[in-house]
Amino acid sequence: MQLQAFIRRKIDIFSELIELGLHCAPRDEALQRLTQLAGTALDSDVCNLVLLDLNEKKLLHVACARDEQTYREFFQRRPLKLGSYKHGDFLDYNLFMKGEGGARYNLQSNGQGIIDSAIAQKYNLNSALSTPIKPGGRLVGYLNHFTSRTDFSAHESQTLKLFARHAEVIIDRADKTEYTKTLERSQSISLALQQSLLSVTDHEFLKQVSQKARDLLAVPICIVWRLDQQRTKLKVAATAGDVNAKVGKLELDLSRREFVLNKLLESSTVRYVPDISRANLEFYPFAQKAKAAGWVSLLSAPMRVENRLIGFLDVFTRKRRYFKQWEQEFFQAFANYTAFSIKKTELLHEVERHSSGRQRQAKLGEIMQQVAEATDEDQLYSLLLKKSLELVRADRGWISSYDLTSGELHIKTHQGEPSEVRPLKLGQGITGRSLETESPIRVRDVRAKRWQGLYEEFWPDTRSELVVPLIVTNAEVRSGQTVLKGSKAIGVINIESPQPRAFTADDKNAIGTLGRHAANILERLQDDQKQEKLRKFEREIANKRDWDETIRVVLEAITDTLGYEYVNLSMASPETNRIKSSHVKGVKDEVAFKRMADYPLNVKNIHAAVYRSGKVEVPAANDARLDRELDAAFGLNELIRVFIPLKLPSDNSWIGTVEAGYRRSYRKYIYERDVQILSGFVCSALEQKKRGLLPKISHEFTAPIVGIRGNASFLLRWIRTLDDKLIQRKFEDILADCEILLHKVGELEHILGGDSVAPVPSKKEWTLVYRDIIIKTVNQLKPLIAERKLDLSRINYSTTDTHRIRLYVDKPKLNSVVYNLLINSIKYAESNPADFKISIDMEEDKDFYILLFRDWGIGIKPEYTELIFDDGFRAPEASRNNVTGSGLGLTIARKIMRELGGELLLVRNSKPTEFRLSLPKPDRGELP
Amino acid sequence: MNILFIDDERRRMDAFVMELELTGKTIIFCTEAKKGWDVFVKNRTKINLIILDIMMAPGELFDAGSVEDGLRTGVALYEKIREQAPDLPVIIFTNASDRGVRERFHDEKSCLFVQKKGYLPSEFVHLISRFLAKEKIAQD
Repeated sequence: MQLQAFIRRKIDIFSELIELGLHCAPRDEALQRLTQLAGTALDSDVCNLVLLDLNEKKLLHVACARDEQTYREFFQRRPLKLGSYKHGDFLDYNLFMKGEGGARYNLQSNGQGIIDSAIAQKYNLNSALSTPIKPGGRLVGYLNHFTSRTDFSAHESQTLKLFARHAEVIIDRADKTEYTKTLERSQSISLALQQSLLSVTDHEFLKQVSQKARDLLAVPICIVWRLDQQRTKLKVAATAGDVNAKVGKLELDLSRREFVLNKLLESSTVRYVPDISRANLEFYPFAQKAKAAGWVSLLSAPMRVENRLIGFLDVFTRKRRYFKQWEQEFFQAFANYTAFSIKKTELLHEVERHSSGRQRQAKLGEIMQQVAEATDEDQLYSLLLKKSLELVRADRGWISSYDLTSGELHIKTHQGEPSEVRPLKLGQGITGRSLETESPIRVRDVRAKRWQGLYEEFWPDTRSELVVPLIVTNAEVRSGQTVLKGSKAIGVINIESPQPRAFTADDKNAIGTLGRHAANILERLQDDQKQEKLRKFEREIANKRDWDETIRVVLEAITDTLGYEYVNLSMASPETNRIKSSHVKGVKDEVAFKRMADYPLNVKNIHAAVYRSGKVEVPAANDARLDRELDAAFGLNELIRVFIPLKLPSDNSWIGTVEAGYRRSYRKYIYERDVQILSGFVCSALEQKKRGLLPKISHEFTAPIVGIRGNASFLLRWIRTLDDKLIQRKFEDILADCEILLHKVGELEHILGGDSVAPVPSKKEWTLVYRDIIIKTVNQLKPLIAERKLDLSRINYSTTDTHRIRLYVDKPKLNSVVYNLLINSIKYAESNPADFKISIDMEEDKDFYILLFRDWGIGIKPEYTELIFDDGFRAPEASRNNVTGSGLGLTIARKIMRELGGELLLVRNSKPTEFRLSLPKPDRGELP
Repeated sequence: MNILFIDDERRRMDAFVMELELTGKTIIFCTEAKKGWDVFVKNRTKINLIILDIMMAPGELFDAGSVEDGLRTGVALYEKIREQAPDLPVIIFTNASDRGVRERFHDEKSCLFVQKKGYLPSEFVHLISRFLAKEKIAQD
């Protein structure tokens, strides 16, 4: 019975052993049962199955059979260090690595490298029979049978080997199952990656790789590293798992650690580090950070394509983990696959870029040509938007133009219907930011954190945006007297999409190129428009008869067309050696401004300097030549200003300066093109005004000549039949017209000015002012007095004074002054001849004789007191009553008086109108 | 033959007036546009010819702006006269030399544009005779 029971037990044991090999129980569970069955079959005191960890030189008790609970618990799943038996370690690495089995005895006195003798004593183990476990010929561990007995039978040895073979089957099958499952997982991962390869961005693909690597090996953390183009930096390209955000931005600068780079670049196979806190990882620069994060085991696979390293795939565990050889091989294969995919994607993108790039390039060229042919600004904006949208396959957007005066962006055209349209300013919104930084912005997702607070919503469903500023990058700008290169903001192109990441880097480049091209064309069109507007102003100026009105139009043109906020026209007077503001626009109190803006030509003032140098200048804000007091009083500190010398092309004469400015806050520069337009316009306008005088001058020459010739012809034909009085009157008419002609010649010389007329040498002679000039002039004017039916006797002067003033003077010049004053009094007499009256009186002081010319004519309004001495000025009242007149008479008269060392002033405006003419008394040396 | 002569330079036109008077013409000379218009209105049927200057002070008859401060007073007065007397012979006698004025009268019926500098007084008298003869033929 006992035998039968023994045999039955044996049969049961071996039946179960066979079952174990056939069933797919979990590996460790099956091995535990196998060990228990072996222990029972061999009647072992201890039967255990250990597996070798060759990387760590350790041995793991996977299964243990002994009745004693404490023994099992002590050894079960416990790794034991394999060392050198000779050096005191009780488990001998070399012995285990031999892969040989066999029997060993007297273990209690000598563990012989397979057991600690103290343990052998404790559990009364004398002998051990071992057999290696080699699934597929690969040594993975041992099955050991320990006994208190001192020998083993051959049966025991065969039984142990039988169990070992079954263990091999179980391990092999388990490995194969796990391998197969991993293989299947790997295939499914590869397929999934391949499917998403071309539909996602590079970054998204690498993100998926990191997630799949985690799935593949069931690890908590994965980091994908990419080597940069220069191969000097290793950057984290993607992470998966609980990884600090800082790690995601990590860059390892390898250029400073050549040896590290070399070691990394040499790395060709997967590297397994069981515990990074214990390993020497000087080749792995990230080790310290990984250690600090509490990560333990590392599997790092290089990503190589055609033997060229492109990055690394690292997985980490939080607990120590042994990665099987095939797992490592799988991981390396996955890394290789990833590397290949990355390369393939790059190649595909390159091919796609190359192909679509060529098409796009051709299309871009076509659009640029169309843009260049635009003749109108609005037409160009519409075309630019339409074509930009086509180029990047979008259907909504707008273009705004930049207002350099207000800093606002005005929407010129839009496509799609935005729910709201608001004007933005420089720096406001992504649009304003792009313009401010003068660089395109590609927004992958407007809802991302970095755009919050900046993005201005126009379409509620917009997700991505492409913003390209329209910038003229090589605009010529003035700095000091030098022309430099600067930038000029024209506007902004905005393109939007409801899809996130709708725009590529190529889109950005293409629209950027188009934007730069369009900016140049727009600038040209804007200049053309400015020129066209200025031509209209020029026509308006040509029709103006009034100097003041002419300058008002000039200033209006400068501010309205060229966008300057402030303009000051200063005229130089070489006679007084001063340069002073004659007309200003853009300041609150023009009168106060003009009073202050009056400078001697020989001081260090910017107006004087520009007038003297003849060079355009944009002074720095702290330029010492600026008038600080004036600038502070009128807020000119906030302006960037240009000072332009004014030169009349007809005679190359410098006449003054024009100063124009605008606020610094919205534009950094004074553009050279604007300077040229401004300078050209002002000079041309003044020149045209001067040219406008010519028909009048022509008329004023023709009229007396027609008179002289008519009278001469008439006398020639009829002189013998005419009475003497008529003949005398005709000759007086002829003489009067001759005087008028000579007077007009003086005006003509003044208009031509400059170098075109040789200066008339001064012809001084002793002159009795009353007799030789005043009385003579009155007589010359008799015909005009008669023509107007005025009474000659109402021109009063003291006959006792006729010999009082005797001067050594240029008689023709003084005559010209007196003639001018008297003819004005006649021309501008009241319409009723009874009101006509002129008086000429004399006063004197220590240094001067003073002649007072008074008339009771129409008078001069107080506001014209000084203007009547300006070139070309004619009061409206003067024009109404006498159509002819150049407005130069008093200018010339004052000029002459100053040349003679005297002065001409208007001291009373009406009833009587009184001119004060002062003549210096002769020096002693001049007295005859 | 009554001639209305409107010109603001009486003295310089004196030789022309005297030459005309010596040929038996009656000259009514006005130095202001307003006076000239008044005379025309009052004596429209008696006037056979008008000699009209262009550059004259606008006076009370015209707004200064509308006649470019007097540079085109004669043009405005001519148009006013033409409304009343479309066939009345008119000689524009002027120192104005700009093309705009000349072209304005180029195709005008019963109108002759003459620059003062082109004619001596006696020549001007002959010119008037030829012009009036031509006008007579045309009107017959």
